[in-house]
Amino acid sequence: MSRTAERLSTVPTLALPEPDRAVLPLNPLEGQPVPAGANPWVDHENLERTWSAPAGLIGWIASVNHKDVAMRYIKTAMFFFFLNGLLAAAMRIHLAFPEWHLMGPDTYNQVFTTHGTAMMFLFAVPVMEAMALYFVPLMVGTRNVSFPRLNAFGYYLYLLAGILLYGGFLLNIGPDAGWFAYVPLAGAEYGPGKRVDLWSQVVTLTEISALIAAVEILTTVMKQRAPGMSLNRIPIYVWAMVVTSFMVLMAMPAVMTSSTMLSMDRLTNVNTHFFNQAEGGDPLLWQHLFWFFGHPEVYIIFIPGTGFVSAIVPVFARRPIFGYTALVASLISIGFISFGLWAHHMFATPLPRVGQAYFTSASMMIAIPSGIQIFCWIATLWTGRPQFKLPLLFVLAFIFIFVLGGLSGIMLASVSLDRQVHDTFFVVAHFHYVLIGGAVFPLFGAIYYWFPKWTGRMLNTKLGHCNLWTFFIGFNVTFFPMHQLGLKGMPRRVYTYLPETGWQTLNQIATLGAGIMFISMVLFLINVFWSRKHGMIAGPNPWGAESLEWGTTSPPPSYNFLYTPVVTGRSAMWERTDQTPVITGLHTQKREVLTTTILEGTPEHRYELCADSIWPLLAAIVTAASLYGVIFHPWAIPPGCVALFIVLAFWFWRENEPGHLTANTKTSEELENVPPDSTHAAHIPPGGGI
Amino acid sequence: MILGPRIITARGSGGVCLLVATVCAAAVLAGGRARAATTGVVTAVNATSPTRTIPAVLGTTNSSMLLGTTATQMILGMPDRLETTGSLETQLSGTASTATGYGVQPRSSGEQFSTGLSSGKREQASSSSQAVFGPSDAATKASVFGTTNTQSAIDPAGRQAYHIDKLYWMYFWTLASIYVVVLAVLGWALLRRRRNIFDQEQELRAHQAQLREAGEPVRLAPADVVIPRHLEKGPVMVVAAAVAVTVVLLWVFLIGDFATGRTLNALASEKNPLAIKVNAQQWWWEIKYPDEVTTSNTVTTANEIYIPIGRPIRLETQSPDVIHSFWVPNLAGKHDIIPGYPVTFFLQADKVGTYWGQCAEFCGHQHAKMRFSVTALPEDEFQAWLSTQRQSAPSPSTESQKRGQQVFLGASCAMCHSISGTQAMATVGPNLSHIASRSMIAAGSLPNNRGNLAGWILDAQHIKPGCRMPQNNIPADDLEALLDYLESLK
Repeated sequence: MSRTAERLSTVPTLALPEPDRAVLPLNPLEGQPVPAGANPWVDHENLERTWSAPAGLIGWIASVNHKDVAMRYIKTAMFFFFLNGLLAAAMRIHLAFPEWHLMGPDTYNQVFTTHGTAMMFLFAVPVMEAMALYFVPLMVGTRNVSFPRLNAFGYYLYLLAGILLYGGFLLNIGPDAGWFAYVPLAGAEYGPGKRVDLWSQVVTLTEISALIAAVEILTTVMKQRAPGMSLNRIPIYVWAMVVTSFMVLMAMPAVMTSSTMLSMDRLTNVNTHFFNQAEGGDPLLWQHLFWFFGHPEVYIIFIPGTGFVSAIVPVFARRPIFGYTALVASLISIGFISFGLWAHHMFATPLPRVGQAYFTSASMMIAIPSGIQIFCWIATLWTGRPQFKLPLLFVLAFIFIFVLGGLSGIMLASVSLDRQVHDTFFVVAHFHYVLIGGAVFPLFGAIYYWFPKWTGRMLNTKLGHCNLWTFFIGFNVTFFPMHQLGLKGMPRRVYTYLPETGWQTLNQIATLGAGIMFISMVLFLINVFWSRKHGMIAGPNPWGAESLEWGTTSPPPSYNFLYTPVVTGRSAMWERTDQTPVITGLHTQKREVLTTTILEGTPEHRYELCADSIWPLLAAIVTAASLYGVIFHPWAIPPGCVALFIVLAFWFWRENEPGHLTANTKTSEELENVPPDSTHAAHIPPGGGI
Repeated sequence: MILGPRIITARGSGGVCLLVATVCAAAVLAGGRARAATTGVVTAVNATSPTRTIPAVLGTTNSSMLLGTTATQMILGMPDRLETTGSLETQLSGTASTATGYGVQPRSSGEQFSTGLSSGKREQASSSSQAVFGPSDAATKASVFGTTNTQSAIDPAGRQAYHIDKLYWMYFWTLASIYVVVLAVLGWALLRRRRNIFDQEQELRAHQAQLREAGEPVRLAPADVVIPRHLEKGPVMVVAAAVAVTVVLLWVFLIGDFATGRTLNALASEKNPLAIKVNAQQWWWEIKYPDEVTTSNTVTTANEIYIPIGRPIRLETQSPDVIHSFWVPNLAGKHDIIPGYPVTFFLQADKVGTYWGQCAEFCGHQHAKMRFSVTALPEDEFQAWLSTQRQSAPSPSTESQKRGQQVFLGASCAMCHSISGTQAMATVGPNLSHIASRSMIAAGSLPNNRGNLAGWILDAQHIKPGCRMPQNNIPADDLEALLDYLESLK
């Protein structure tokens, strides 16, 4: 052998500390508190059988476990995110050279419309709701969301909406009037064909899905918390999702109504004139209706981002969040104020000046609660001991970027300034700073933070740093020059520009930045796929974190908590003692959860959730088919209603009700060593353990 | 229980924050200074020795005036489309600065204007013409990012844009300072020295052992976690102070915005406005100079607006099809033109020059190329231009031109376009009565020269896909005649 080979052969191979490609968690009881006298292994086996979905393809499709549904949502949303990124890359390449007709105007219009629509409706809101659907039940200490089948139905509707939008785009019948589809351009006369009708139905489908998720989150948070978790002890992330869900309930119906009105204007068989000025309608009405939704929409995207930050900062500052009450008040006030801002998207229209002044004031006022949040986070870091792990670094990147975006937003709040920069690349820069900075960076931080909980393995740190830095640098190189471009006169939604304008240099810098971001996303994907198989095994609480989801194994079992701990403070895990009581006595052979009161979190009664079911998928298919049909003809509605009625009848059929589970659970006679305690009523220590 | 190596230390991260804050501050200062160093919009032009044969715009005695041939060439774009004069580069190297900038009363035609902040060479115009700054200056105009200033919101040439520009910079400096302060505080929060935690952890473990012996509950939190049990007065006061400062600053911004808004609206009540009607269509701008007294004096043109400096212009806008937005950044903010909502607004130019605008509300396929220019002239030159435009289109004089007119009237041209003094009176497309006086065609997207005109007539769809002008199959000799005719329509 050569000398080199000799040297190598004497290097001792490292003994891997953990088995590679292991099925995680290695120990299903790790991190679970076990009360004295309980038989955890038996309970684990029973619960696992009760709560996990049946094996096989049908079982996989029919699963109503919130974690399964949420992971599907997250993966689908991230897939759409990357598709939209490719669309964005196409736009940036196209704009790198003036007068380049790589894409014609028609294609380009479809590209930017699909990019905007898909980012707002198919990525941003769904991914935030999905993260909540995964973590909110874990954070509040329950086993599933309140309406499991409805949850699955929402996911399938969302998937079918995505197929509709991208299918339309690929077939060259995608919407091309912008993501907010102003009439009359999107109306029957100037938007011929079915493109905008397709857009309307995508909006309808995704908004039904968003409403469903909001209802789930709200009901779960209000009624299914762990004992002792009063409303002023829920994590700030859960508060953020509660506020978001209320906003969704108020805002989504507005856009569904207005997109339906637009559909009715466009359908020749219906032929309404809501927005047709010649017949007494008003094009400006569309703008009001849309932006009444549209502005809360961006806060619906941003507030969960702040929730992620509020979940990450305390953990990596090693202290509970500073200013809990102030943060909750800020979140609620942002939720309220955001409904009073919508006309700042319309400052260039002939609105009365007094009205514009009110919207300017409100738009500036919302900076106060946003500022309070930033100050509280900085105060947490100041008074804590920052640990510079990747989730915190993503949060720091968020602060850098979001604050800049918020400050350019103050500029846009001024009517006079807005009249110069409205509908230019300045606005494009602003909203990418606040949306990517305010939502996507925290989302990535949350992914690095919660990846161990999802998979049981940590994401690779070195790759993570490369991901972060390329993302941060690439993002700023792409979007910062756009401020200048807007001030130099470049409007939005232009497929090309003349060389005389001199915009080429800045556009090329922006395209370069987009290339860097592309590399960043590739690194991210490599990290995710590699770490799923080879990442360091995490254990239940690798970060030493404070919230309840870290009190179970990584990944969590299908039943979430073996014995749910009682909560004695705001930081559930940090306030826990070795004598904190846990819940025992919930049925392990029925899908049973504990419901509690709304304010105090005292246990009320036991509630049985439903089994896995294929009917949500079928209901989604029927609903989507009906709405796909409405693109072409309003008569698609009646047969759709009939079909949906039939499907719902099966959905709610007696045999599918709780208590009549499928045969994969065992009766007590079939199980050995079942202690009688496991089927007794819930045992809560005297005084409620609170 | 924290896994993984600490790759970035506290000091490193905090240092990065402070470094970024410093870089931002430096960039802001550089941007501000560079903006100040941006030379003014207007440059001198030597109106001699044109090398192209584009006829003089005004066609009257004032061949040395503003829109003479050289100036026209300057507007017309890239060197590969036209031959620039040698004098072009020398003219553009300096600016005459009179340190007055905006707000000056219209001067006689011999003087130049500038933004007032530049310190370029002081150069008196060698001719009496007012200069035009055109997009062909792209290569020579100095600014931070190498962009031009004829479509720029931060290079104001009119009252409205000037007030907005002032407001912008007030906002910019204040907000930039806030940003730097926030980042600095964050950096300090991360960087500050903290006491060693080892003793704390030791104490905690000893305490926990005691509790266990006594049978008391022992908290399971990690040893480095501190849970404050009392109100932290210091941070609370700091945060409250920060909120108070925020509120005060927001009031400052609000009042600034209201004040600017009132100033902008005050232009509407000034005297002697000139009324111009703008009819925004997909994808061009129809401009009318109405004359209530003598309706036959109404001028209809397209995509180019000429206005006198120092006088308020009342723009009465409307749109018959979709929402457009009238925006000429150097002069004023934009106004959306919504079908069914005719909007009247005011602007005023205070510096001679040509300023470009573009539709700023997505309106369909050719939204990107729906451009227009606003040329501000001294009052007398403006009146001269207007009187030329009021005249009927020149009758064809040569044989070729007469044949060209026949081609125009016989082909489908007359179905959409009008030329005054002929039977062509359609209003679907732009009025071509004085087409040769325009610097660009196709809504400001092509220089107006013979080759471009030919290409546009033959195959407009290739240049602006989706626009409303069809392709026209015109035989070559007919086309030459047509072009001769069109070029005679000054």
